[in-house]
Amino acid sequence: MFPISSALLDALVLALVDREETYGYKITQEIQNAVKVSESTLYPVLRRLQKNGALETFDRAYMGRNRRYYRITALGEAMLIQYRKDWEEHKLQIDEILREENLS
Amino acid sequence: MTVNEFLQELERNLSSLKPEERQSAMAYYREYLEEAGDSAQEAIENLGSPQSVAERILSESELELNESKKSQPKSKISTIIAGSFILLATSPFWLVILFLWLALVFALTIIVLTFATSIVIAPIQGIMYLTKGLFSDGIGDIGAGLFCAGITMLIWRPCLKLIIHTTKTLWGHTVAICRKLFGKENIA
Repeated sequence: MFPISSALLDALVLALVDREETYGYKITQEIQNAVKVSESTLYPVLRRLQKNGALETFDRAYMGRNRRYYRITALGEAMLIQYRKDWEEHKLQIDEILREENLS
Repeated sequence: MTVNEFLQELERNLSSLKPEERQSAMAYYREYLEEAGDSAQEAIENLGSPQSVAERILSESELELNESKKSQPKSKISTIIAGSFILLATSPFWLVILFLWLALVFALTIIVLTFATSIVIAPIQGIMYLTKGLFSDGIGDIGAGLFCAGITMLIWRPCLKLIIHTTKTLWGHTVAICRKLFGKENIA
């Protein structure tokens, strides 16, 4: 319903990878459970985060083929902390306007 | 569209990308469709056309390109050094212009000021002569004062205009040349 910004998408991906080392397909599925984004949105996001040094990749054999896993870096962790803070602030500001006024 | 058709079409649409970027994207989508396994067909439908998938990748890499261009303007320090060197080398030329300009402003100012002060000084002297009974000298000096007043009225405006015009023109050229030498960003 609400469009998702690229910053928010970065934050979601970082949070998911922070939870556990994971791979592209799984990240996409998990993001799609929460927000409506096209499946093709995720690769550019992952690639950008990787290039910025927020994520790093490594390959692990799985069922006789390679799976590319993503892992969060120290820089990524720092970004995630900032994103969480920003989101908290953003949420409060939105709630401030949205909440019903009859509670007081 | 089969998985192979999708991947081939995608690769074709990514041909403008750097090989390294293309390989990374291809590896990702190859793995992605393998992960989808039995629902690969569904995944292909969800991904959309290979063209649109490629466009997303391309537009992102364009963004990056633009950003890296923005964040890396021509090395500032080297432009400043090069610019300073050129300034130094061409100093015989522009120093002459600078001094000519100073001389012009100085000369015009002095001329106007000379006539302007004479408007006051000459009549005072004339009145002093008159009080001493030197009528011809006195009248002459008062006349000279009036003459200077007339001259001043005639010349002050053109002189001021000339100074302003010359200064503006030279300043404009100076700024333009400095911008060329040091780059636009460095000059307010």
